[in-house]
Amino acid sequence: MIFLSAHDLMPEYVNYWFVVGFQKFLRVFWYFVIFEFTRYIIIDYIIAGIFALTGKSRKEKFKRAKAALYTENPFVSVIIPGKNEGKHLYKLTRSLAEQTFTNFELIIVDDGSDDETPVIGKNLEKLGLIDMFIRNEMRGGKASAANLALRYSKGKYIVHLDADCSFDRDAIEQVLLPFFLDEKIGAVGGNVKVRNYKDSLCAKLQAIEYLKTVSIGRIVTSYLGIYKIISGAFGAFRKDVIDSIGGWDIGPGLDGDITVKIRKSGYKVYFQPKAVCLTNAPSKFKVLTKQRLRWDKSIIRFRVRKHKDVYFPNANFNWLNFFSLAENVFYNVILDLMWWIYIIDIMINYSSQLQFIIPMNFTLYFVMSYVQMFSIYVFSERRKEELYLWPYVILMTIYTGTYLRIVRTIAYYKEFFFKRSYEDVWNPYKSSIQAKRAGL
Amino acid sequence: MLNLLKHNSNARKITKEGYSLLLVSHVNELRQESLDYLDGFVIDTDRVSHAREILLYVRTQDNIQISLLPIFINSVYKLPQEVSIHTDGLIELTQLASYMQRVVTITKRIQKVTAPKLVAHDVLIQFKTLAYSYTRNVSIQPKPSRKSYIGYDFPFISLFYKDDEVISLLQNLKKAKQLNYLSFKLQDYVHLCKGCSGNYLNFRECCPKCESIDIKAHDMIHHFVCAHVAPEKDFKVEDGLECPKCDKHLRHIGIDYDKPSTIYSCNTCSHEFQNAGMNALCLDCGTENELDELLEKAVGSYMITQKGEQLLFQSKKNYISGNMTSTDKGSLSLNLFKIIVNQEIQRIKTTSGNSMFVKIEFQNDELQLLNVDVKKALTKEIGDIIKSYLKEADILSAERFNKYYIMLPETKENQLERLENIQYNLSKLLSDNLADSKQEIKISTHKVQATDAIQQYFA
Repeated sequence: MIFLSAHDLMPEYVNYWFVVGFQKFLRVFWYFVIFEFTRYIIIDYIIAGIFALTGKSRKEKFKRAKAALYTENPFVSVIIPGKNEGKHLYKLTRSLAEQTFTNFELIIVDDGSDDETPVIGKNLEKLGLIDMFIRNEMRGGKASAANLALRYSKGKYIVHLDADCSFDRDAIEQVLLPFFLDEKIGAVGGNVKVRNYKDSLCAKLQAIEYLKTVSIGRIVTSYLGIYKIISGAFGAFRKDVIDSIGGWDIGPGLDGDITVKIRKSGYKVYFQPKAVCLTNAPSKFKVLTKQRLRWDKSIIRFRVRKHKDVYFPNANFNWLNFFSLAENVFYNVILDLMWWIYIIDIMINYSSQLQFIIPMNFTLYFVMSYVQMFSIYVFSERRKEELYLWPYVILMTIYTGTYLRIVRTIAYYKEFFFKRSYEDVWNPYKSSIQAKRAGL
Repeated sequence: MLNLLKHNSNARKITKEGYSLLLVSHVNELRQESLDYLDGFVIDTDRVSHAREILLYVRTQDNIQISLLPIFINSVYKLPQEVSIHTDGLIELTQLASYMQRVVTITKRIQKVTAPKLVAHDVLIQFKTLAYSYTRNVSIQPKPSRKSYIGYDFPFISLFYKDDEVISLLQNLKKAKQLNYLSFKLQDYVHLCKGCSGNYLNFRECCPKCESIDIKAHDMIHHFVCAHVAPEKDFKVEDGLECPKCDKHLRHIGIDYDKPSTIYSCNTCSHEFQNAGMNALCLDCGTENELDELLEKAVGSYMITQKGEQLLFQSKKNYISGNMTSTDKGSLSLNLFKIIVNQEIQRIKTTSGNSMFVKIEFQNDELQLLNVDVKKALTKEIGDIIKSYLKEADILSAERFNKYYIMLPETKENQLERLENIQYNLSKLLSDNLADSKQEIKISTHKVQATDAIQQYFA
């Protein structure tokens, strides 16, 4: 009779690491253990545990906040700046008409559309489905359109949306509640999820990524007080706060920029996972690559350059702001560089053991991805629908660990050395050139 | 030869080539004159009110032979368009001969028109208008007029309506068009006040919220470097423009800033908006109209059609009689006729009487090619012939232009000589009117039996 031990059942590349010992394992997989595992498993699960334990008291707080919200029933301005978004507007108005919180005005700014948007917008305004439709004949960029909407907003709170999004029935109510938890909260980010995840593999992978980084990632950073980006697709702001900082500055990346500006002005920002908004993610990798190059360039432009003052001692120095941006820059920029260093380290020192290192690395990331997915499953309000995505989690190692890392590296290189974000057609040249000259 | 005869101190008659025109300077001259023997009139005054009274007096005469007579204006006088469009133009008395052909044509055409009797006032106006178009061989073409409620005056027909009755005028013309008596060519759309149907309207931009016209437009400024956008007034400082967000001075449009749009603010309710509303104030009655509340009316020229001309010649019959299948004595619509036939079958069951059912069919392909109007006229004429041989108790109905049914109550099989007359005259009618002489008129008779089923009669 042959007795099989656990080692016999495992593949050779796993047994190898049992044989060489933990010290060597740590030496070879230092990048995974120190940065990835610690940050995305240990810290996430600790926070998730605390989050779960404090659920009851948080529920009570939100119950009181809801009572306060409906007692005050503040007037809210929902603003939607955009270009060529006419085709989404009717659906959007229908989605907003279903909201549980109803005391809001709807302001849509058409930023120089060259399609039928002006006709649609004016008709919807005439029909009373939009309270104010403002058309700019000349395109000025998303920031200027948002600022124009802000100028004519009458609400105590501003809810900024993207036109191609749709919302849970209580999304606006949920995104407003945190303002009634703490008066120092100046802005609240909504939970953006991918609507078209069944469209393509590209959309599926993004849906998983959004769940990991947007949903869980932001619960953790928000809990730690270092939440640093309110998505442009769905965010709420106190009008007095946003007025005091002069509204939005030129993008791309204006949503992250305004979050930092609010933080720097002394207010807290909060992530509300229950305020759910669905958006369409790019369904082709080519489009996704362009989008990510734009987003990643903005990290260098805003987090490294424009807001570099948060890293240095000054009158407005704040540790949370420091950690917020430092965490963001470290986990994106620094670790991206370190990953290449790690690759070189392995290639030089362990080139003869690659047959054990590469599969093990994939296995580690694969296991980590499913462990993360489990935490998402625990927190998500759409867990059953999201089970559909589980088979694709296996590909996340290649998607985030390789594809996105390469895109990110290219973006950082282009922005750091050539300031390419100022040439992005996403923003009109007339504004970008001025911003570049002014160093904004 | 021109004869100028003094009839009395005010009226003068011109006779040329046997046609008499009356020179009139005041309507009272017409009242003293017997108009039956005149062939036209010449307005001999430059006073608009007098000229208008003359026109009204003539055109509103009950006798259509008078009301349609040509009316000219003596060329030595200049009368405004509001008068001249209702006349047959200017006439030079020294060159009368050159105008006589027109008088002759009009009067000859007038004689062809048969005046209707006992018709409603608006129908009479409609008829006169058709006759005017026919006798002059012109279209009724509207002319722009500041004095008209709708901005347009129509020749002839406008005389019959007061200023505030212009909608009735348009409706009457529309009715004639729907009946295919007049053809229509669009010239313009007019927008009229919902209150008084006038078109003296003042269009104003207004606040979409409170409808105040006290609104002001502001240019928007977009400051490129900081993306601040606001009305120009927010940027204005003593020495130019300064951004309220970043405090920078705005020097150069296109470089520092641009003006992407304008926005209105209402000085009454403070509402700010980009798309101003628009309303129209009626300067006649003071009604404020939303644009979509204005009455939109098509205005254009009307010309008599062939059907309209037929109406003029047969007006007596057409206006007095109606649709054969529904209103004629002894004629019934098919549905009603079927009920009567069914009743007759029931009656035969109990009385054992003698009644005959007759079916007349025209079997000729050429008839199918006739247009709808001719088919209708043919149906009427056939109906008239058949009815002229029927007795009082006989009942006629038509299914199509080529199929007729007759119920002959209390008629025996040897009492059908009237059918022979009908067949003879119908054959003659067709052979006179159609090139193809191979007409076949099939007349079948059937004695109504108590056991008959209604369906077999109309199979």
